[in-house]
Amino acid sequence: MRFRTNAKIISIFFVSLTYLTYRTFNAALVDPFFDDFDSPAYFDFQLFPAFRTHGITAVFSIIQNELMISLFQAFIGSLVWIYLWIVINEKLNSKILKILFTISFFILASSSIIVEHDSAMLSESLSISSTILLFATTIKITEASRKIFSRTFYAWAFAFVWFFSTKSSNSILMPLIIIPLIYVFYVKYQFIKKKFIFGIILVLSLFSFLSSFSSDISKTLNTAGTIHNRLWLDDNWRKELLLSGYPKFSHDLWLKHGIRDLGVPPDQAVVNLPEYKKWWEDQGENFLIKFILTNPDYAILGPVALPLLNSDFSFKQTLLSGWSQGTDMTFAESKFRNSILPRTFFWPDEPEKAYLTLSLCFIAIGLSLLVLIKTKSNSFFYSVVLTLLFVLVWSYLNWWFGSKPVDMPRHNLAAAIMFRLLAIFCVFYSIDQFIRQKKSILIR
Amino acid sequence: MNFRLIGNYLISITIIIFGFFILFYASLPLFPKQVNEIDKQRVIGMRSSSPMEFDNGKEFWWMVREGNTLTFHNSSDEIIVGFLILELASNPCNNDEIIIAKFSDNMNQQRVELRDSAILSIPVEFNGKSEKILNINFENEKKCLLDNGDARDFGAKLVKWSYL
Repeated sequence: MRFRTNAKIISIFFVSLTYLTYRTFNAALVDPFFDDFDSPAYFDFQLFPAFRTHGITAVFSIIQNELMISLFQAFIGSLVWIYLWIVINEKLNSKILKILFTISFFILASSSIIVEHDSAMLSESLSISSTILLFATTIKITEASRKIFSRTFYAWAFAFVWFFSTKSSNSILMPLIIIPLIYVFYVKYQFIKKKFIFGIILVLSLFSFLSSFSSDISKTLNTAGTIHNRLWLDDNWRKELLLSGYPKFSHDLWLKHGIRDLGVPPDQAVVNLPEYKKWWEDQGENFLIKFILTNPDYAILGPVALPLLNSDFSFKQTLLSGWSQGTDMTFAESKFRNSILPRTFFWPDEPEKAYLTLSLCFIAIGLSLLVLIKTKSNSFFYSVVLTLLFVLVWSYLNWWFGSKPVDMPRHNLAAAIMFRLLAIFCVFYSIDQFIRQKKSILIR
Repeated sequence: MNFRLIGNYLISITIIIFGFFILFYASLPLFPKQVNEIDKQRVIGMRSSSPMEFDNGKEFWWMVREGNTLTFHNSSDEIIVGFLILELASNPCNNDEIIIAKFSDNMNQQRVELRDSAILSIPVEFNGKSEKILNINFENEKKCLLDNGDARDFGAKLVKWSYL
């Protein structure tokens, strides 16, 4: 028995060390990538109002050194992925499935699309890590059902605060996640200590939520980007936009700045216009919200099926593109030439194959859920469905308020990773449950 | 009737249907090489061995008799099939020229006569994120040298290129 436990610990240690070494070694090999337009703001910690979220600006402004930030991101990323692997592995019973799951899991976790962001002075790496930690701790909490260990609870609480503080789009999800939790912690649970900790989470999450609305910089740019990349291309949407007083000539300016480098990016050139500023003060600030509410077809179908509404669009302008293709800094950036990262089969480069992979992920998740219904694994079934729902809502918010085609993969990267993770997790877990049920029937 | 169970089945089936929607509407239509998701004219870029110059605000490149390379790059991750169109004008000496265009990875070559102007249309297929080098040479031995100190032997003027 002791031999078996020791072997298990050694194998966990070996796999973890290999992954940690792989990821930090790559971060050390690659020159850190500094985006002249986006990165500077991440090194400028502002309490309130804040242009960039505190979970990133606090870390970057404390460490300052770009290589050290890369190594820190790689180290944290490794830890959370290893933790998730251990959590999921614990849920599987079959040894063979555990081995197969480990192989699939680390192929995904080693792909360039996930690991390359360690070397970028942007929010993606820590944001993905916070999402993975939140997912792992949520599985732990779900599994615990009635009795939650303190350390699991603290890790979960930390994951929440961290998740909300890494991206504005994460913090906007706060009410959707926190409100059901208030019910759980203040109505169902009696533990004073946990209620107190939860109170702290609530305050910090609320702070992140309010911070994300405290600066108009991203909002004005994202609105201009959404308008000129999307709304302008449909006759009816454009009419609605112009009726709101939007400056018509701004589109020519936007196109001009898109064709040649005139010193200012196209969205910024539009935002700098006095006419745009006036429109923003009159109607612009809430234009996208009003537009979404008055165009339900755009709001519901647009994010995933825009070409069905207007054939001039392609799926490149939808979330499907972001969910399927992933980023590609390893190829595109010269600073990544030393990188040892492969794309792996989870992220085919060609769009047709990338969409195929995404479709297979959804089909696999759906089929696994059918198995879970049959095997009566209710808590797991609802955990998967709720996770899918949150990822969908999160992506929809991204699309409604700012994902341009060029940003689609980066903005929706966490969702793309989650769909693949859920597919792997669901397939192995449902097969494991199925085998377990068959065995118990045979024993009986 | 167990509504919760029916609901669970509906959720699972909806997810499967969504997977098939992506398969049939987004993935499969893109498999033929001729179909692209992106605007192919915006992802093919050109770099010439000769410097870009301007004439009345319009860009052009001098192709010289010693030989020229035009490197075409596909920045997208899609395979792109189409025609490369090169519009050429005569050299400053107005010599008649025979232009030979040949991709460095291909034995086939295109030959076109240039009097005042000529259009070269070359079928070409780019793999995702790849580049192809087009060599432009001249058959005519007659030199076109100017007495303004410019030592180049002019062959033709590339006034426009596009990818259709």
